[in-house]
Amino acid sequence: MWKWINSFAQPERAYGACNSLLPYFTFILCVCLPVGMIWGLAFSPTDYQQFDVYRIIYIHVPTATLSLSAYMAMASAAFVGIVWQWRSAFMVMVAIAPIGAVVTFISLFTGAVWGKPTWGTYWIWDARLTSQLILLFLYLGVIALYLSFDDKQQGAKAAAIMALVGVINIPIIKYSVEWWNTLHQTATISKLDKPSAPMSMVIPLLTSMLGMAGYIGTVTLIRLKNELLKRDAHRPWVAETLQKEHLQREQAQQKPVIGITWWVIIVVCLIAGLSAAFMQGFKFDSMSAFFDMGGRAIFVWLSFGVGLLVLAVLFVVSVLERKGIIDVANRQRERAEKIMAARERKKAAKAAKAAQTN
Amino acid sequence: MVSQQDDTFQSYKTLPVLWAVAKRDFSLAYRQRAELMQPLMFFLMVITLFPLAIGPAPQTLQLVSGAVIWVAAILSLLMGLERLFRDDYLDGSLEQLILSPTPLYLIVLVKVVSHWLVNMIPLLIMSPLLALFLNMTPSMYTTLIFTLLLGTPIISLVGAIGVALTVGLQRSGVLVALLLIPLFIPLLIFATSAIDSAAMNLPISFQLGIISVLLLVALAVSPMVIAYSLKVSQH
Repeated sequence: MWKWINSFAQPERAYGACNSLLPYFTFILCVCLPVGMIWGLAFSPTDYQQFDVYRIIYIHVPTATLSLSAYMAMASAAFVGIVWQWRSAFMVMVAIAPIGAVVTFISLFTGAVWGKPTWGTYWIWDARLTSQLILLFLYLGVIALYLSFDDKQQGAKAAAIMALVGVINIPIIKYSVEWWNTLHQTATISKLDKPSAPMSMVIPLLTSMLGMAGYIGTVTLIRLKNELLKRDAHRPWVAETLQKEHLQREQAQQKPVIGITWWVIIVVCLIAGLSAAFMQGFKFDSMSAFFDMGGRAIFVWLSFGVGLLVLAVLFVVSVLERKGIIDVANRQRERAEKIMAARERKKAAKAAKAAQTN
Repeated sequence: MVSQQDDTFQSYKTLPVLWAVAKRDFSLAYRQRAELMQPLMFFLMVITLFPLAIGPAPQTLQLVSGAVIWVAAILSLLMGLERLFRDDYLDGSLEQLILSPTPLYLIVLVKVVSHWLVNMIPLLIMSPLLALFLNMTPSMYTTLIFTLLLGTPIISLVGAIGVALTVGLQRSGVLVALLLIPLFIPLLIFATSAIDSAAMNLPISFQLGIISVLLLVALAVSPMVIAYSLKVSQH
């Protein structure tokens, strides 16, 4: 068991594990996120207190909950990296950090947009908002520290120490901010009463939470693959992997990472999920009422629009990064091959000369 | 590797080594008096800025005095922290300290403590002046001294982690501040709240107790983390 786990410390094995895990996370992302959000936006009942603006919950709560989980995942990777000196664990940490920062940012943004219609202000020094803001600072600190090192291995180690120091501090910060808030609280805030929320609201919420977890998993794997290729560009396994993929593409027998069967399953499950949502019945009188969101259109669509846009941008950037990395790796390989060929020619010429003189 | 027996044998020599490190740091600090003064001047000037910005009303100044002094103290101590390992790193003596058989975390602890003494004593000497500037009551002033005495070692201990991580970088001043300021938020909350409580003649033992807990945790954990960070930075 232990040996099996340890084998993933090799970048090569970690790359293979990414490829085999990717379909599962993509499945969760492609099924749960749309189903949860569409269900929440159109087919879950209207809140009796906040009416339609409460629908921001379907993007705010998943991001807020998972921002902390992503930090814990990052810190666990940092811990594994420092204790067992896994290079690939450091890369996992580096891969998660920007995703966590983006998710924390979305939770803050949607929280602020939600605050305007419910509390009457975009920002309030509430305990949760404040500690979320500090969490964003911690993420940014880890990223900034990593980026300022030229030696990426050293930078990853330093960032890992910082992430672990942050983990010790998160409970202290959270506790102190809550205490500070009860001391200074001036405005009373009405929150959505969570235990009394009906199942028809909880199911889409949990679904979109799962979908958000799938998003984090998928993008982490994509970024981890990039990181592995980038940092190991000069190693033979990268050249071999890339060459194998290239050959398969030329012979038109390349197996995509996520096969056609996976896409069929994803589409079927997506349709099943959406029809489950449809069974709840459309909760608006007309399409224009849906887009109007009970007069709160700007808040709801602003938070969903910006949130999904930022998520999409991070996804696309991560995917596109791969092409550049592969180009660099290929160029390096070609150069190495050229040097090898030149050396061979030189050696052959020398041998011929030696033969002549003899 | 040094075996267990050797370790106990060498522990006889540990104390003189630590004493030598402390003496060296003190004499270096004494010879670099001018550089040492800069964070202090910064501290004084930041505090002078606040009455100018807020207005000279004594009541208002009294209300914000604890917060102003603490924010200024955190910022000025962060500025001074860079000196902690920078010169040793540049002239190579840090490498010697890492290689020496004396446990690195003890050496680091001695360095942090002497750095704290060198930076804090002038600040404490200056503090009655600040109490006058910001119209603090005597009970607020004594609380301020207590919180500074208990709280600033935390800044030095935790701050040294950030400095140790970035010691190999060319320009690390702003980066250290970015990394560390979020970590000082609990300290800031409890210290200023203690001063506020003192202003209202309420008991302050709770806040002081929490700050002491933070100090003890920092004292237990950070020397090891600083030592590891230095090793990461050095290689």
